[in-house]
Amino acid sequence: MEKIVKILFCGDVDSGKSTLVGKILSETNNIKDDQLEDAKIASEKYSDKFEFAMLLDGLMDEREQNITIDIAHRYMEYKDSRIHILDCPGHPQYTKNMAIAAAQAEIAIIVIDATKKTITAQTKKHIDICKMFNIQNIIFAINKMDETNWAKDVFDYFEDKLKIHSKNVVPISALKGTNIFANLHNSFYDNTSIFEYIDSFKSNKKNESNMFFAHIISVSKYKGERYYYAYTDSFEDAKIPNKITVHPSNISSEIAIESYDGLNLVFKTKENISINRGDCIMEYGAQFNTSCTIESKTLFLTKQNNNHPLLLKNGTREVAVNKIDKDIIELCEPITLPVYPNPSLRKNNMGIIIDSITKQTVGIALLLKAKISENKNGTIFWLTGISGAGKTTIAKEIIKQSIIKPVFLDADELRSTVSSDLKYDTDSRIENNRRIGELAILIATQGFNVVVACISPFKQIRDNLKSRYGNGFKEIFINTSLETCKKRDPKGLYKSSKEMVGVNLPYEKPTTPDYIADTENKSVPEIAMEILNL
Amino acid sequence: MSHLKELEREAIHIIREVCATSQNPVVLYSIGKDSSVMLKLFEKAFWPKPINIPFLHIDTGWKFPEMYDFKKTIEKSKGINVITHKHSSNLNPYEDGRIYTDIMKTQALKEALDIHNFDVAFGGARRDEEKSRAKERIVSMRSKGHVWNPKEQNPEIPPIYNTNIPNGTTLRIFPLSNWTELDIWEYISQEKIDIVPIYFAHKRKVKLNNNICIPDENGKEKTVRFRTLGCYPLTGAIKSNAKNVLEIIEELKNTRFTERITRVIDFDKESSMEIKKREGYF
Repeated sequence: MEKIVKILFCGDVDSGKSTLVGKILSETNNIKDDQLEDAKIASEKYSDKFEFAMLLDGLMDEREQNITIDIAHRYMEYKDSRIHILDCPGHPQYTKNMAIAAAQAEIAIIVIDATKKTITAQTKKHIDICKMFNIQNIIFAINKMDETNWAKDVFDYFEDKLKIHSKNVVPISALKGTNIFANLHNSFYDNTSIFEYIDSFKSNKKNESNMFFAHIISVSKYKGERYYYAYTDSFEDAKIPNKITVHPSNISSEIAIESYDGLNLVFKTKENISINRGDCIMEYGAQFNTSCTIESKTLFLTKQNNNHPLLLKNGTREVAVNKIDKDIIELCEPITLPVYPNPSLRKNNMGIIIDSITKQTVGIALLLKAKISENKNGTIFWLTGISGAGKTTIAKEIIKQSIIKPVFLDADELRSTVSSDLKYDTDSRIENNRRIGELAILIATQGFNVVVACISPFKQIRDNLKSRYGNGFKEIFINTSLETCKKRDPKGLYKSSKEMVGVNLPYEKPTTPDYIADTENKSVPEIAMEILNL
Repeated sequence: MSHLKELEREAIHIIREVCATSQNPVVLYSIGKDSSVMLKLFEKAFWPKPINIPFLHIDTGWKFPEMYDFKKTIEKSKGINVITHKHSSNLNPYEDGRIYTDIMKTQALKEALDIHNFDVAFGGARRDEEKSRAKERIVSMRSKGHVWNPKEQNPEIPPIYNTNIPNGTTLRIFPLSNWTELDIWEYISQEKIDIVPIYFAHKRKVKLNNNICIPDENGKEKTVRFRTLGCYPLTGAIKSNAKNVLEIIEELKNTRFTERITRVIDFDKESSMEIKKREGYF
């Protein structure tokens, strides 16, 4: 059998939606004798005729009030596939349950009462919700056409009003079973039946992105090895990459797949990196945005208590919400969303809104885009280390690997230009470092990334820059031993100069650098790549 | 892509996601076919690690002997920790009627969950089993006293589940929600899962009641099999010659009845399952 197709059925009160679903289930032999008996007994108890709804409305309150309150899940075998029916309430009070179905269905069948000769407010709401969740395949079933004596003008009215939403408008009689499975060509309508449309949707090759996106569920140590359990939130055709980037930390590693079933993934990493529940992973190099500001469409499903803080759960990540407006969610911590090269191929990124006090789900959100703020500052990569450590070499490699070229500030160069007035005493060295720092901040605050190669031996100066510029200041310690530097000595300074930092002038090592470059064991391209991933 | 594969991976995801977020989860284990499928899915969900959460069997003392034998074999061969809990009142189904099920199953379950402080209980219930179950969420909240309130269910949009547990409440998790009885058997066939042998046709003394064969030592010998397994004598068998899983699958494709007809307890009231669930039955 092929994959499971989720179809939602909805319609305003008395549109005949239950009759349609009941008819479909019984015609396909999916109602058993004891279920029919049970529905007959309930019909006798609560109504004066047989109610198809009793086959589906399984709660006591539903039967007593003769309305659908919550979604009924039913399953039917149809041709070579499994259809998962989501039978939705029509009553305005329970629209929230219809919305839950719309957030997961691939096909929506909206039932409309032809005899009412108008599209009701509730039907309009159903259409809006289906469109909000990007349901591509909508079928309008204009029901009770037999009661209009198959009046063509009635159908034309509906077709004309509805065609902007979907061209799939079918006149039916749910009670008589007309135009549900086949078109009998015995009325003005000589076109596709409901199930013929369903068949055509299934055979259409769907527009799908092959971008890989997954959420980390848990991390487990077993027999000395770390196993990561994740689930994919991408389409089936997405290939699991060999190398991934973890978000929002933006660390990369090669991975080894231990098991994958199309949804669930178990993997190990080559590098020893930190990955936690709530992180997401994408292919290395894939486009993403990480932000606290998310363009979204949010639907609140229950009354919220304004005093209760809210949480957003996307994938396995739960983040506190700062503010929710109509089209924007402001979060207290960032989340990462993929950037699809072709937006029409995107997969719905869903989130649920949780009341942090009652822990109940109060809303659902379609997350469209993580918004990058416009006045974004650049990053300063401050490479510190003694002479000959490899600062300039690594800086040039960082520039080479960057997609958008950063600005390079080389202390040696600046010495002969901007700081040509300075000497080599301690005060002059401090002043030189200060000037380079100010320049870097000046450039970075205009949105450019800056790479600085500067011995900068004074911890106080580096710390001061870091506290001023915050997270965007990356202190990179090029940790090469004095012996190696002396051996390399590219400028011949260790041989000729009397005063050298690290020899007879102090070099204050960083205590909490953002990265330590081990030039004696790692290649320059490898180090540059890791720095860019910070 | 088979729909069984899709159902399997949905269930594995549910198990992993819920186990990652709960403090003290347990798997309800009834020894029946759905429990056997659940055990298989837990093995796959925990892989490569062995299952490290306990299973809980609510024993009434009135299960079929073949079920007790099967449980012993499984405990040994699968190396899982099965906690057995039995209510102290020792009622019996012949004399105690409806309160038997309430005390020995519903109250016993609530007691066991409270004693061990389990915050999450996985169950093998399916939506196709019964009309009120068709309305239940996969992650289903139980308020104080393990009460189900069908009107206050969380909005749920798989594969995102709200696994937060408010104070004083517990969760029931149903990874097999979207499976049908036929899916269960096709999966048993595909994965070669061991099940209690009385699911297959065998000779047994029974009394007929509406085509249901109630086990009765004074009855007539017939060739029957069980479609569901519960307490002797509250579980009826059906006339059947199905000797293996493939024959059961063929039989089910042509049946006119759901499996619930073999459960005597379901028929005392129109909505007795919903009432039991509201009272705390799993």
